[in-house]
Amino acid sequence: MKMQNKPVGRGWVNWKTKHGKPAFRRLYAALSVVTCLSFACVLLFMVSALPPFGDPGNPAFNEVPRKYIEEGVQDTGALNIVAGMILDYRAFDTFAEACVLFTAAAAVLILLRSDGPLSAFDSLIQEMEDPRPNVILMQTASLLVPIILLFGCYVILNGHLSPGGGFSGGAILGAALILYASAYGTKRARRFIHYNVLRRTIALCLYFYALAKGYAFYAGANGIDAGIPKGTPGALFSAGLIPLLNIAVGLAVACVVYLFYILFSTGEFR
Amino acid sequence: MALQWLRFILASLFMLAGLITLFAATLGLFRFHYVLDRIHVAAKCDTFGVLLTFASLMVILGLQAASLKLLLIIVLIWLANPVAGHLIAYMEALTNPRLKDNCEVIPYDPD
Amino acid sequence: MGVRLLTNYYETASVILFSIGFATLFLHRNLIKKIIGLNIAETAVYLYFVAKGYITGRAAPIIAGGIQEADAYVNPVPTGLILTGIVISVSVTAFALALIVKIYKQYETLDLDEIMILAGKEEEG
Repeated sequence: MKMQNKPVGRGWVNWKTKHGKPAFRRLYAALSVVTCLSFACVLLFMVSALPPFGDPGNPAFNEVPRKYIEEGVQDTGALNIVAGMILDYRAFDTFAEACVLFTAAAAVLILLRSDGPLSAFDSLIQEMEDPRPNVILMQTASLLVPIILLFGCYVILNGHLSPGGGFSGGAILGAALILYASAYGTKRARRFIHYNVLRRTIALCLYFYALAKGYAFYAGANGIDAGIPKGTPGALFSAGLIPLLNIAVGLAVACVVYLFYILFSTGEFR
Repeated sequence: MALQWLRFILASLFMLAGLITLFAATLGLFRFHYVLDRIHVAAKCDTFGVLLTFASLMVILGLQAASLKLLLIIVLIWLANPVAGHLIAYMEALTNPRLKDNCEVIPYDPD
Repeated sequence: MGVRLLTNYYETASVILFSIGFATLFLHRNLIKKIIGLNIAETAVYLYFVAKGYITGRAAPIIAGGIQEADAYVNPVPTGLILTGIVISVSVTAFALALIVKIYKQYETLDLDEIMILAGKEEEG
């Protein structure tokens, strides 16, 4: 038995050391292509059994969106039904969303913090933190940053009247801050947006959101008049808490987006 | 009637030229292999193709608020896209130690 | 059946896009390209949801001109759901990229096979 088995085993070991890795890679690639194709086929089969695209009788259009559209303006005061939905009917969901963003920022902060001595990679990143000032980028940024900031504020403040809202406007504001920091260096940006400012702004926005919406829900559930005026639908100051919540969410998102940039560009925030 | 035909022909010419330019940009991005070649194609053809397609849309829309918004988008892209391309090329020139193997290098002399 | 695939062209496109992202996730050994594949797959899911909410010939769900009939606007619910999804995807991407930075600091490579070999050596030695 031993005499018979030995050459087979040695041959297999020889073959494995010689061709094992490329053969495994080819097998892996073939298997993954087959998996993806079969997955796509199953999904396409499912798509062919779905109701047609753009059909008014689509079962997804049931009593829930009907209620949102027909009574949304009376309930929330917001013309933008999506804003009224995510910041009034399902406000705690949005709160948890903002908390997830905050948690991601905290996790990135924990992962990228370095306690030990600086490695070669860290010193390379520190060298690149403030590269030579680039005149072209600085001129373009000085033109574009105010306009982008203005546009972000417009999108946040008109979130209950037109497309937009806290998340998209906050992302625009964060992009403007990132453009400023990449043009003029993070050192100069740190003069007015320090790490502590970012941290406190995010925490303050989340606290304000939780308190305001918690009060509104508590009052509403117990039948107390919350004392929040709805205003006339369509005016800039209307829709009760929604503009304030949009501002809170927008500031938090802008700070988190900028914090991501700071953390990834400097490796470690000092 | 003649004016409408003129408008249609102008718009379709612009749109065709823009689509061809954008197609060339995509093709170049896939076919070239070196960073500077690819960023050359992406920066120039993208910027010009967007100008042409948006000009076609502006001709279709006529004089109204939406076409002014398109004009604003064109201004933004013409400001931002070349700068982004310049920055990528600048970073490549700064950080690649074997730049001379891939392209001709003329030393920069400020005087 | 084939006809339905063509009428549901948004969903078909999203399935194809999802497969592209999925294949990228499998086939590339570079960790950052895997994250790009994950993001493509997520984008396909957003496209699918928003396409399911669309109804032909109706306006976006923003009340205009005082019309408040349910039959005048598209479905607002998928849009709200996708807003949540986008934020979660941004968070997950940032977290994954931070992990990749950490891995790169440890092994000084982004190739998954090399990382596995180096990690195996570390465990043995």
